[in-house]
Amino acid sequence: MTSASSANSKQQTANSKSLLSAVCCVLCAIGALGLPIVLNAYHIEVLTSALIYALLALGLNLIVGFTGVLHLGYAAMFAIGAYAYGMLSVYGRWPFWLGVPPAMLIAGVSGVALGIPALRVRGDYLAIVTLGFGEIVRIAFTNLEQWTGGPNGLLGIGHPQLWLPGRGLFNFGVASSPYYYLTLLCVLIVAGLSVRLSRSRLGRAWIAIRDDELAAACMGIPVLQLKLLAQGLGGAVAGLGGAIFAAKQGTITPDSFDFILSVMVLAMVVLGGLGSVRGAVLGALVLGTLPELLRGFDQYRMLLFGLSMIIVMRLRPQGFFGGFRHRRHVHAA
Amino acid sequence: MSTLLEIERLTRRFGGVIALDDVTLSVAEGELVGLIGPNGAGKTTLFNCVTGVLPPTSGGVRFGAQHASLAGMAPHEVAQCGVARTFQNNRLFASLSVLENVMAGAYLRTHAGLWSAALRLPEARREEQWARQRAAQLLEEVGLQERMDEEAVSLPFGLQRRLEIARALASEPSLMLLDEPGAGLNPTEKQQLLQLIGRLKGRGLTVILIEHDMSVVMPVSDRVVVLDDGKVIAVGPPEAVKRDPRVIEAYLGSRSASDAAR
Amino acid sequence: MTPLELFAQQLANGLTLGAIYALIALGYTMVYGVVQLINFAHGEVFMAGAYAAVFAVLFVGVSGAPWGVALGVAVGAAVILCAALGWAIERLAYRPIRQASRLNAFITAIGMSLFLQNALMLIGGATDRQFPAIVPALRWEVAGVTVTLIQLLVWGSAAAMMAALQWLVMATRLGKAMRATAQDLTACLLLGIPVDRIIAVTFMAGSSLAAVGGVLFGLQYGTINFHDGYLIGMKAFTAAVLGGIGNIPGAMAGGLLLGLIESLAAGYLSAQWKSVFAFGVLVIVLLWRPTGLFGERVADRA
Repeated sequence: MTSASSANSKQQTANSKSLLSAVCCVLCAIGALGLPIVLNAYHIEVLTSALIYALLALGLNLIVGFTGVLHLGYAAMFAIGAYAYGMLSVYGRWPFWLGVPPAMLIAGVSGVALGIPALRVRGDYLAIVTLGFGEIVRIAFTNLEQWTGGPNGLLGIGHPQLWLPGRGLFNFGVASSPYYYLTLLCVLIVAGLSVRLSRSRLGRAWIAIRDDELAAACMGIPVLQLKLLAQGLGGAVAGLGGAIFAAKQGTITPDSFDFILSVMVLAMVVLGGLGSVRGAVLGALVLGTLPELLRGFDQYRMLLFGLSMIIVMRLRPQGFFGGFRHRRHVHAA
Repeated sequence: MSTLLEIERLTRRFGGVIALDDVTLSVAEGELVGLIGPNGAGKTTLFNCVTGVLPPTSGGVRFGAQHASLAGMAPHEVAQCGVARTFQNNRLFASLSVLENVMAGAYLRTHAGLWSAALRLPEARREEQWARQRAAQLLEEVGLQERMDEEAVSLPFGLQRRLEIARALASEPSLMLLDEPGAGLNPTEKQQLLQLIGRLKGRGLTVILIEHDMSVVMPVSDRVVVLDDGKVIAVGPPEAVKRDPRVIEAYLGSRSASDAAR
Repeated sequence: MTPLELFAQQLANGLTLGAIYALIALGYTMVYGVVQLINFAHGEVFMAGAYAAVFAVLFVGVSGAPWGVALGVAVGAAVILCAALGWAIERLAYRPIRQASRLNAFITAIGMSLFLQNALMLIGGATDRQFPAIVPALRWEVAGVTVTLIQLLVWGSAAAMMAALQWLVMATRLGKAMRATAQDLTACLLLGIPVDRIIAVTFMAGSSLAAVGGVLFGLQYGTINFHDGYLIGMKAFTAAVLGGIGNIPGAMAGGLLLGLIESLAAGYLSAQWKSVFAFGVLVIVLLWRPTGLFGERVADRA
């Protein structure tokens, strides 16, 4: 057997394995679809915000997980998406579905713009630039009161409406479950695209940049361009999350987008395993629901939350699905 | 034979230290040039200046039939022109498998854009298939076909060296810069490596080979360039260079005297 | 007030804030220099210092004693507690993962920050706490500018601490070992330098500076809150980066510069936007000098 054909047979095992994992995903998805029937409204609410976290973690995974750029201002992308849709809705009466693409576009362009200092600034210095950018955006939304409503928030953002056969125009309203389904759908789409990207020429180039930037460049990989691409995509995903968040809340205030949010999303990505798509989702679901699970401990819960982050990093530094084994599983079989 | 690479009066300073001092060198197409010299002679610095990793302090580099200047190009642009390299201390992609390392090296030979990659369009699928086969072929060529799915950095050192060469070949370069591929190898591994380099030359690839050990370079090189203290002190056929008094002095003056005697 | 006096007053206020930033920034920069870790929990250590001072003053009951004694009790308690805390954080959280990737260490630091912040809330209460006015509210008019005793204390002690640190790092055996560890940790291990101990001492020294910063902050602003540490910590970290992280004179200059920018921006432009100016200056400085004002001119390990 020549190595080329053995590569192909390996490819087939890879296909059968990915079929297996696809079946698992479908089963999980069916389970997820059924959850709102079993759970009460409060639990659905918690799950919905965990899913929004998952969307953010998937987006940040493109930046930190794939290209290795430490980004500490990701909440700003989320904020930009939320305010973009919010302002289009409040001032322009734009419907949700029309507002989402510009929200994603604006957040994506901001993501690319934020990547520009990377032309000169690197490493931890770049991380602090992203942190500063995050703070600047939050303070700007707080202070531009005449447009954003300032600290009191932007009020009266429209909920999505959907025309359903037989039921006419359905307004998502304030109940959680429609948003739960919408976010779930978005998470599945973004996760699916991320997995495909990670197995592609681009995904390999991103990982190569993360592992060794200089060696990647010497292989002809345009490092800066691909980093900017990842930041733009990551920004657009955060913009999508922001638009959903704004539509669900109806009111957004700048303090929903503080530095702690950036840090939490980063922790989700690292906890899941850098570069792992399912890890990002799982990390978000765990960290997104953990504070609620710890609610019984009342005021000790954030203390325990911090402690569990320290313990997980000590016991499993590569995260849930990190390290090479996972990658081999995903890529070559 | 036409000239592929022309290095013109290249100088590189680090603060007060002159790592490369007015180096002029031209390499013809299909030639295998051995670049030797004691530690710290500036061999790797020369590679770094050619590949855009370090900007030269002065002087220029021209490449290809059109004599295009590589000056001021970023490393990935130099690679696009057809220059590939390996690294002295292996720099493999640690999270990728052996096969994927080579596929990543084929970045320039594939073209799938964002959408076709994300949506797995048929063209991207075909291209992926092609890249996989191509990478497998290259791995066979360097004798790594059995270890395609292993973690690249878990390979023994000598095999990592060969993987580096396969990865660099994947970009289908016209000039290959090998930075001490023989360092740290045992005699058997070194022999296998020389055979591999001989095959590369047989395919018409132009190679510059950095080597510390003269005995490795001499039999395979068409020409040998000796660098000492940032300066070219001798250029010529291996036998002539071996007898050059300046070369003997440079080597005797350094701790590698025994290498020269071999 | 004439415009010149106003300017001088803003300058004085900025120097006070800047001196506090600088004291905290030193802790970030020392730890970063030695182990390349952004010690996110450092802002919480600073706040712990302020709380330790409050409790020490309450328990010891210094009402009758001269103010110098009261201040000594406050500073002593803060320094002892923070040094112990710095040692414990390094020993329990960071040392076990020193070999892991830097992102892991960073997440651990965030976990530690959350843990300490909430521990402070549980111990010290969730609401603002009055900082005891142990230093008399003396004030002087110098050429139209009001200078308080507290401000003089802030400047004096910050200058003294920085001088002491500079002496420690540049003129003692310990400092030499610290610098060597910062250069090449592995080589130091091979040479038999007790790297673990050097790192522990670095954490303790940085934490002690933050403790003094915490007491000065409490004295200057009168109230403290458990989440002040996060905001001030972030600013101090920014100051450290501004000066070139890992560089001690850089942290001092960065702290003072950041305090001045915030104070002048608040005075002349807009108090609401002062942080935007601070971060804006940071971005511009980094674009101009990618490794900070005093940073080395080599590419940072990414």
